Amino acid sequence: MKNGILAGAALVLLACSAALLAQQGKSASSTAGTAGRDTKFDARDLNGSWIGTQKFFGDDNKVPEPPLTAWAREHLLMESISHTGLNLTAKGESSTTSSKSGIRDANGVPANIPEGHYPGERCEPLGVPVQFNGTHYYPFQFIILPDRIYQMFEKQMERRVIWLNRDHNKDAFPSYFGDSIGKWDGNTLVVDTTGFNGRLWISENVGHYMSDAFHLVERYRLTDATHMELEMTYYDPKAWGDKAWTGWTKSFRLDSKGDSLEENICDPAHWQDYDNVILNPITGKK
Amino acid sequence: MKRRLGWCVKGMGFIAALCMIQAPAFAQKQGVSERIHKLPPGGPAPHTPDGHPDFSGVWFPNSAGQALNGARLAGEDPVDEDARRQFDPKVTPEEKPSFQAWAASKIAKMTSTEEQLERPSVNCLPRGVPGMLATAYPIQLVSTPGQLVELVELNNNFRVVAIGGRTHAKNPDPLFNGDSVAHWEGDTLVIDTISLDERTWNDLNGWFHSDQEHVVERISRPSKNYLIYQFVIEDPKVLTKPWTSAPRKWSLSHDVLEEYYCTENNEIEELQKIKEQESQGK
Repeated sequence: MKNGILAGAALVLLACSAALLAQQGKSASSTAGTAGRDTKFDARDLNGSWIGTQKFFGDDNKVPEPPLTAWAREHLLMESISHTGLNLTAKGESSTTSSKSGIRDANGVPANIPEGHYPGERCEPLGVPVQFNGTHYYPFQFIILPDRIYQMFEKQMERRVIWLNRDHNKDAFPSYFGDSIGKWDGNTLVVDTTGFNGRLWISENVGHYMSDAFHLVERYRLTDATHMELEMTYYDPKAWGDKAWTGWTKSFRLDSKGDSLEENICDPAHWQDYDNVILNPITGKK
Repeated sequence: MKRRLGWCVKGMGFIAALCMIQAPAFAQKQGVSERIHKLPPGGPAPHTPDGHPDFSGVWFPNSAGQALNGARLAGEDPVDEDARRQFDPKVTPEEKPSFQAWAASKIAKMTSTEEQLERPSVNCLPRGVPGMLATAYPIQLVSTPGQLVELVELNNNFRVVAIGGRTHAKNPDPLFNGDSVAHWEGDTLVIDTISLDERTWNDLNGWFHSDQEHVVERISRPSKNYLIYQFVIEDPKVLTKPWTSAPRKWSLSHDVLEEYYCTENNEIEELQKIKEQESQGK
């Protein structure tokens, strides 16, 4: 958050989000994760509510991104694309708003996201992997069933289903969360997701969108009864050719064996207030 | 994979083309060729290992176990009357809510446009409790030890109800799903909810509520293919007496919920224009 607009947005969101404030308190006070180090545990029992032990995902990701393809430079960069018919609010504005810093990574991708924009603004869906940007504040819950796993995210109360014992649905309509299938590799749950609709951010710190060929592989593994690690690998042939982007781990502790999620609703009316009170006076819009 | 047709502008087809919701919405079976009958009871209800009825499954708010709106939109009605409805009003009549005079007046004065503008789902907000179940969309329930998970296709909303082990919070914040406690009474799950966000409605027709609303839901599964959902609403600031719904049937489906997001919503802007035109007598 490197500019006034975004800071203003953050203030508004903080003011509007009792759930966030409550969650911060919950995170500090929970003791659910203290007993697990030496406890015998079922290595496949991921049930429960999990909260990240690190800061936002983007801060942890020090692994360089693979080089972007020419197609990706033309179609996915936030500062230059025109996603007509996609996200008419956030992406439409970002196509006309460039980063003032001018700092770019080795790929030529702006190091900063376009001014004032971030995943989930204006109540846009977050999806995965962006949801893991916020699991430090907003836990998620796993509900493990014999044929499927539900993953419920507190942030904007999103959810997805991970199907066990089946292959990808080739007829699945492209969607924000894609088509997720899971299988056990020993005691590691491997979740493979394709079928994204290509409208989502990859991370709040990545200066381009995913394409509809984005392919996410998540590997969840309990390290003890109350701690879990997640390794993620990103594939996107349209963006990186045959190169994968991987090499980091997220850590979680068990917040509750049941449900500890609080209600977190994104109200579009708050964004209208934000436009009227903060953004429009700054930008001169009426 | 079949696509489903949005119903985001029920009752206002003139604006349907403007509804940009990224939604499969509830299931539509286009080109229905056979008559649709109500499901048989289907045998006894399954139970969870702890001995309680297992409510798990995808459920439609009718007696047919599938979406029915496609047949109606096609200009024909190949659906048996008793398959379409959730209850038989001749057998279990449902009274209209008894509103206090000021509340009745407020609802009566609402124009159709104003009603749409205030409707939570038109504003991309959750319908909450019990509005999430006053819907034509399917829901999915998941019974797990000590909790009931309610997944709603509309807006991808969900609710996790803890069963037993807790009492109402002392000073709960208003929430769309409120503050719920639940317990079993025999084979019926009783969910008691307070502190509901006043932006939610109890139905689709303007039944707003106060901060004093208290909802008691009762869910049972008398047979494999049916759930019975009945709820009581107390609201001393809005109603003159508690209101009890009919015991409403939900029928088991082999369908799956699809992803439904409310995005790029142009309805509000268009409705505001219509409201402005109406106020100017155009």
